[in-house]
Amino acid sequence: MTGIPTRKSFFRKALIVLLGLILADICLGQLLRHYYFRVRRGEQYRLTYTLDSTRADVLVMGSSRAVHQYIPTIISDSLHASCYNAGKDLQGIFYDLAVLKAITGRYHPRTIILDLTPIAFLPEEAALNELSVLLPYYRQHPELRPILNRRSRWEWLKTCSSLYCFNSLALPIIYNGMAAADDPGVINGYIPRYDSLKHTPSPPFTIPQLVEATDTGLAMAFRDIILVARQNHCTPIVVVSPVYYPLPIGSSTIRLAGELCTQWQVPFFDFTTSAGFHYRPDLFYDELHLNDRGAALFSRMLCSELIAKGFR
Amino acid sequence: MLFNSFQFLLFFILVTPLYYFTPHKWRWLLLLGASCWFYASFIPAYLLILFTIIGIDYMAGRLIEVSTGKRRQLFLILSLVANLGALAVFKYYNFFTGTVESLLSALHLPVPVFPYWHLALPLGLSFHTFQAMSYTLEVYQGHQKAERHVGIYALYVMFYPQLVAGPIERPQHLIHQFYEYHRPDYGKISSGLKTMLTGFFLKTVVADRLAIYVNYVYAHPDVHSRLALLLAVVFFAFQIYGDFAGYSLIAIGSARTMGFDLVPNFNVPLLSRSVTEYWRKWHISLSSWFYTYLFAPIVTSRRQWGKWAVIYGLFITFFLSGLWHGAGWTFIIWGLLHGCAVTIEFLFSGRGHSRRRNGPLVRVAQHLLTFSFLCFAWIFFRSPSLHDAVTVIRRIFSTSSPWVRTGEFDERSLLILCAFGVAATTLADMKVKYLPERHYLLYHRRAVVRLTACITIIVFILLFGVFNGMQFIYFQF
Repeated sequence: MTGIPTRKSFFRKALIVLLGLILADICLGQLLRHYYFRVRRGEQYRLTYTLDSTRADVLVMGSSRAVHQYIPTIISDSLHASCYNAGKDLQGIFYDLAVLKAITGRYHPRTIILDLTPIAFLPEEAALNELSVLLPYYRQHPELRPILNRRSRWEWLKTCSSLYCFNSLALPIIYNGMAAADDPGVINGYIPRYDSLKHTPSPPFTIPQLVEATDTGLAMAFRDIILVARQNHCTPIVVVSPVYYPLPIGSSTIRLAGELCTQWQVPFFDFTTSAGFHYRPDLFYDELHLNDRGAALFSRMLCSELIAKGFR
Repeated sequence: MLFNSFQFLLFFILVTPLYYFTPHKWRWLLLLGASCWFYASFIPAYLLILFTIIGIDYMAGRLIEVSTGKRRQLFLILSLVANLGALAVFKYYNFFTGTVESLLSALHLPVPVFPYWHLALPLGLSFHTFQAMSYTLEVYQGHQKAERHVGIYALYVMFYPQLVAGPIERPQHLIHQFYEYHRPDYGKISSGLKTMLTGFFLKTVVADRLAIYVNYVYAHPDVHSRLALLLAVVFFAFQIYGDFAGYSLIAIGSARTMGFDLVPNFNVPLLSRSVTEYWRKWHISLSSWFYTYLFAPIVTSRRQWGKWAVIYGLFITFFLSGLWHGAGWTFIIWGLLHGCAVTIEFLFSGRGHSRRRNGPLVRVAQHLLTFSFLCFAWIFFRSPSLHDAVTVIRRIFSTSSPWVRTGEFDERSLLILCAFGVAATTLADMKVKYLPERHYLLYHRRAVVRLTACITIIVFILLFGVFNGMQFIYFQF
């Protein structure tokens, strides 16, 4: 058992802990940073590739519905332009804006295809929480900071800690670092799903979600995506990809997005009304995502629409 | 503000040194102001509710002390009605009216239209009302003098470390501490900080990490495999333990840094060998509150019933305990399940104390049986509805549900961290229970070990903690 510390010994030990912590933060942080940017597979690698390397003419952006539903090879062949799928699971409008700012700081893609979910404009606290995936890039990408700083008033202070920036990433870094270099099954950012629905799925969107008032911040971020694209000579195209269940009353997001796109003369495609996808378990992996077969059909349909509208 | 937020860290760093720099006679004001600020960061308007209840209970306490006979009873009843009334209005109104509507509808009787109240539950209402009721009951019973200083009484109810989720204090234990002069005791400050650190670890690294998996499975219990559901059920037992014990440790630790002692709230409950033992070690402040003010008076008033008085008291207590935890039938069922278990143990206790009963295999079996029961009962606690709880149970025990589904366990990092959280908690608790003479690394006799342990825990929190502002589970109560 230890004796009761005096004031001097308490502050001395507190200082030692603080200094030890700073040292651990710097050393471990550097180590994590080094190995994070060395891995060649997994979500972290795909994000790094998106922000720092891709020079595709056509970029697909959005959430998991982008990742699993837009096949770059089909888009490439149809539009005769290179294509990369920069979508990311669990991400929304703020993420898309951040990534677009980082990319356009490096080069100007010809076209941005932005996939919106039917409830993309609904206020959701998780939207800002999920931006934590961009924290490892906070220091070298200053254009990300204004968006990341929305997470909290003190984000700028917290990111002084390297360990904080790599929160929850240590194990994926180790795991992906030890695995083989390739990302099996990932094709230019597209991650196919091969299973079909084997049970009747629950409707993924409730009526309250579909009618809920949209969040002004998200709508403004959507506007900023369009503005950034235009300022960098990219053609933005907004798409709402197919759904298993037809939306009974449309959605406030789709209505608002449609209005804004019309106002700004941005091509807008709403495939939620495509009856060819409704109640087709053979085309869906789950209630929200197309499987590979469905993604191929959808990618071809989208390209046909784009070509008909003069995009090549 | 949440304990696991950066805001709280800044608040704590500001308030604690300020407490020691403030002259003793004004410290109550500083703490009261800080507590008001702390509570106002949630919904400021609800401070008015808190002040109203404080005002009523303060006056009730003074009047009870100077009154006799029926007048004493009247003032006590007024205080209890004010506190329970606030609970009834904010927490139980919609539940009661919904239950009445369903019952009348089932009996094919005319159903009156009750308006649905969209009132947010004031944070910590269940906790500070119980703490306030404890005060007036103790004054009524003559165990506590009525507090003259309204500021000190307000601080008793609103003391920020334990304002929103306990531990529920008794006036005899807490009020006098506000009058004592606390010099900076660096042993207590150090111990308090270490206790807070342990609490943050339990909350951010263990509880919130487990919550990611548990929430994912419980969101759609009808599509997950048996193994996934079983894991979620077991993980939830550790999640709620880590969450609540973590909160209590942060509360106790932050109070201790200012020289205040709060009652311990947990004593390795998951290693209990019976449900009765579990309730002596889980949420100790609440279970002792129910024992003192509900169970013991019920049993005493009906002692002529013999053991039936105990059984009657148990069921009332656990029914109300379930209801205290939430305005829903799942919570009531959870409470009643525990009531049944404790009753069965009571009825069969003391039979055949042989060496065979206490052998190692028997002890292990008792641990496993108790833990299994706890996990089973938590299903009702965690599920958002009775239907979901039944779905979870049905799928776990149904031979037609698959044991594993493809792609269900692809999130290896998450599962590894969850397993780490469970293992760390279990090992730490086993050390406390079976090796109490050995000191935690944080209290090791060698300074280099203590300091390294501190740094390591903080590094773990930064690397593996979940910082998406997940609220403490017991905040909803």
